[in-house]
Amino acid sequence: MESIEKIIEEVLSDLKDASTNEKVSEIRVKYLGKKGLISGLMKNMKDIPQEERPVFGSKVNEIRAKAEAAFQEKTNKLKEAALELKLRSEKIDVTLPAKEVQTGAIHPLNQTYYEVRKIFVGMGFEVVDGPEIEYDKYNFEMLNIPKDHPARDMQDTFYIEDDIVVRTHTSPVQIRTMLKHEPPIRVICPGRVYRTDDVDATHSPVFNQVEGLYIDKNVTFSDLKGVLAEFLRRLYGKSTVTKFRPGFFPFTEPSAEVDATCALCGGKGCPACKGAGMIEVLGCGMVNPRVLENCGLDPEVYSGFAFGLGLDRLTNIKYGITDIRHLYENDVRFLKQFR
Amino acid sequence: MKVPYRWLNDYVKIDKDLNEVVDKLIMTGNAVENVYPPREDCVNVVVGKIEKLEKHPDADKLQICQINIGTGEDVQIVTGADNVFEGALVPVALHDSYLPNGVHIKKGKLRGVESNGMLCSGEELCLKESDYPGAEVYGILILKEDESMIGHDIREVMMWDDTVLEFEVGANRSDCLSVIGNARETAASLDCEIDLPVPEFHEDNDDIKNYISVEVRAPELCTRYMAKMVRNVKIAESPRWMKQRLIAAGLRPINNIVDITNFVMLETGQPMHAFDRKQIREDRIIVRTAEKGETIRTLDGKDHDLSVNNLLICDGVGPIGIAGVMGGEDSEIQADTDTVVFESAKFAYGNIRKTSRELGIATESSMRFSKGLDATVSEYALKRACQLVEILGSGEIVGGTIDVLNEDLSEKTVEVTPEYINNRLGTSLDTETMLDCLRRVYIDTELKDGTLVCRIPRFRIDIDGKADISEEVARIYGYDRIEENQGKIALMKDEVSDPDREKDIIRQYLTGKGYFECLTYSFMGMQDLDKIGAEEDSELRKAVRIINPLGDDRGYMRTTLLPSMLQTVALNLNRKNDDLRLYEIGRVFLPEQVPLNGKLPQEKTHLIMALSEKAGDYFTLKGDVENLVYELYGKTPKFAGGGESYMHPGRKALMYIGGTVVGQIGEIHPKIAENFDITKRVTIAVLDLSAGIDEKGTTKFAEIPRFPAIERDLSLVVDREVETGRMIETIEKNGGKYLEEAELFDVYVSDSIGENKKSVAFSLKFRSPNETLSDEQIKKSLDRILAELEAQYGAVLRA
Repeated sequence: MESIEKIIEEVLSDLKDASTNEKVSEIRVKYLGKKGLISGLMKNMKDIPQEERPVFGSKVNEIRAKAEAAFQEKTNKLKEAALELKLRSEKIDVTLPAKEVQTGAIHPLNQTYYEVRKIFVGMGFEVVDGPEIEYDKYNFEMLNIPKDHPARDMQDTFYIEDDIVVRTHTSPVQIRTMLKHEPPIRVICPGRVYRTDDVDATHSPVFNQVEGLYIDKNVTFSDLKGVLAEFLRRLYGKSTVTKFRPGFFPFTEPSAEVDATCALCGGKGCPACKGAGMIEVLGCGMVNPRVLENCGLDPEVYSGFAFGLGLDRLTNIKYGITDIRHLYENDVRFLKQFR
Repeated sequence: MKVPYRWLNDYVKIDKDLNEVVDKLIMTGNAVENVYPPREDCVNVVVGKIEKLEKHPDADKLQICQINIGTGEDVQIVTGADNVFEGALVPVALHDSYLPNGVHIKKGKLRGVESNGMLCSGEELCLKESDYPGAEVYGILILKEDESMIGHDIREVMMWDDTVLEFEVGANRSDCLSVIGNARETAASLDCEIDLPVPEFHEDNDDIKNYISVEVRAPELCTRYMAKMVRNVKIAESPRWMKQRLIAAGLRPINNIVDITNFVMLETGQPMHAFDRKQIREDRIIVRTAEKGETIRTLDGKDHDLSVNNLLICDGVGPIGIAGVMGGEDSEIQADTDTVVFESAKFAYGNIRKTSRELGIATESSMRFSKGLDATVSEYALKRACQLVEILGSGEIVGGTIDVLNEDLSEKTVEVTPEYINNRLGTSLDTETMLDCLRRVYIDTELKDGTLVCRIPRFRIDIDGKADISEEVARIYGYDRIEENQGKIALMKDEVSDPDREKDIIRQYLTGKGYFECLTYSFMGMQDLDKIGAEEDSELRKAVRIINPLGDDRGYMRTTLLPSMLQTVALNLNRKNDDLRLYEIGRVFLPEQVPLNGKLPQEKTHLIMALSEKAGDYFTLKGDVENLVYELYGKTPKFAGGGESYMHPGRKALMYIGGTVVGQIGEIHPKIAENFDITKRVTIAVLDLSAGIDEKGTTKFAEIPRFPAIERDLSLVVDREVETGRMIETIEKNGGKYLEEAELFDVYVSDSIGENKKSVAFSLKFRSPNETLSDEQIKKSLDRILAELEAQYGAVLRA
């Protein structure tokens, strides 16, 4: 009987020194294999007196169970140790730079457009579109700018034919909208416009506008101020101060030019705002009754306001871009800055 | 327009600080673009009178002066100059003064005698003879001024103290292209008094009509022509006050007669012309349009070919001036001119504008005429010129006036109700306030039965309706005092309307894929099309031509986005930006016919994408395009070899959705790339966003299949030329109702398969929603597929 008890001690002592799974298997074969020592005990049964056999048998089973448990425990330990080793070896320098994520960017001009659009859509305006090559009558005449009118000098125009021009503003889209739809009308018209300006740091023959139009019954100058001042506050921040000054556009009456707190210096004065702390951001006015009449709307019934802003200028102010040519040159080192 | 502040003050009693004046002007719509301040490099130099002169006790060449500088206490200054005398007015640099030459003057002692400053020479004040008479005389500058100037700053004498305001005048306010116009606006803005010159003068009993006749043959283009004559003219320099005002306003003084016409133009806004009478042949002035082939040499010495649109001032023989634009060389005022005819006229603005553009001559005169003038100012200006002749003593004014008038000079009346104004502005102003605003802008208004009857002054040619009156009220009342009403701002709404839908998807998708958006100009030149190898008869050459382009290379509206994209790629590669994923969404302009003949071209929106060699190849771009098209339309495009000749012949494909070509993709032909100095491979895809593909509808849920699929692989041998994409189409077309999916999984090219042959392998999946399919059920489909593949592509099953 003692020898039986001894076996389990031997198992434990063998396992203690085993450090690999292979070794453990070897030891397992030695004790629990078909020819193993524990299995061999049962073969000794015949040498045991009959009455002791049941005790002996259960003892051997007990030993076997103990041995099995010991092996299991050892295996688990080894697994744990191996895992720990693996994890330790897999340690990384978490402060190394991340792998480069390849993302592109929307052109800064369109990013600005999206901001503007979001605000106006939020205020209930819809986006409408129109052609860039346009009839003279839509680009000028119906907007109260007859041929050879001095106001034509305000916009140097590319001509295609006598009666066809490359649009100088997106206002013809407003005309098209009024001709097609009954008020209430609330639209913004984004798009490219063209003037015969030679390219330099502040001029481009191609640039982008967002114009807007609001026609309904009882729309007043006070509404114009309400909508546009709120727009500028949503664009530049709540504390933005706005200033509406009288201006002149042939298609609006009264007309106004709007200054807002310079976004770059916050009103302290900087080169962008020429030290004024305010910067001109949009032009607007109450739609001239003659324009409404031209579009078949009765100015005694309907009134409204229109506005226009230059996206290029807005973009340059926003990002502090000092040369408009960057916007159309598309050097990826420039474009990458707007990711 | 530049307005010297002093000149403005001649007419308006300004009692406010300059900054306040500028602010008020801006808030009434008079945009002050610039304020040029007075000179600041001359400080503490005043006009002094030498009361007493004594010899210096210890120096022969020095004199001790006691100088009255208007403070009641004389200042002692020692001078070395010998041209000074008692009673002379001189520039005195007091203790702690600065001279324009940078010298700082302090008090001190000269040979023991205290000297509290310095008397200045013309040179020390940096003056030339033309700036001030006597300035270049050796010694102290003796001022030719009135004693009332004693104690005044020398900058006042030299007109260095004048501020100049520069106004940006709106296209509608031609009346403000004058000092008087700006004076009116200033008085209105500040609500203060205005005192305009009343042109009075003496003339003899003779009559101009005895010497000159005027005939207007184009009355619709010249609605008023007035003339006065001046004889015994003495051509001379103008007085300093006049020259200074002209210079400050930006004009060069010439002689008294020309200066008078310029002064009056600046003052009143009416351009004037002075003819030398002896140059007016046959003593006749005729206003007519030019005849075909007529020419004129203008006073700047340039010859111009005239068109029948151009209005001319002629004498009995031929043209002597282009009406409203520039005088002829021959009738110019000369040093020996002794009789002058002043012209003050009104020409149709459209005609002058056209002529000025046609001939490429823009003058102060044409600029004013082409903005429109008031015919009553013609008369005022003519009289004012005569008055100035008298004030300057430049000649004797002949009696009588020529006045050919073809215009109604009555005042316009506009009727408007106070309610209309309040409704338009969103205000609740009372009638008194409105009347007061209108009074300030010289609109004589009466309240009759609740209606404002406004008499519009002649010079406000811009006002002709009710809305204009509301603007006048608003700008005088103050835009800043009108409240912001936000009641009309709709509740937050968060959907974007249609025209942007596709662009939004593209930008979002491609940004995530690492592409950068580019924007390029919408112009192109024919040389751009040459560079992309467009054939002589290519549709791309049917382009909208700009009449007045910025250059030959920008003469057309583009019909393709390719050249500008290749330029962008080249620019970046050239700057060592090698890893390029670029795109542009832009319009192309496709006319049905050129010239347009009144029909607008079709405008299509295209997307162009470009990958540089480093960023990927055909298959990289193809994957991006496929997925993008799916994002846009919920459909995957099909590709078939072919496309434009600017692509690599073996690496180009057209993209189809259904039967419609929606774009193309391929590598740029190395020869085309070379035209743009690109030496690396560039892959391009162009997508027509106006192709009319229905957008992706709402996804419809499909039952998750409950029965297993049967998979079959087909390994076939075909010619290498055969496009596998088309084989898949054939399989899909002939697969029967159970074919769920057909995919290419292997292409193997080797001569061991056969010369010029390749092996392709497809994996097919068949499934029924109702049962597990048996081999029998799909055999028919498989047979049909194999038969078609063999018939169309000569495909045989691989052994």
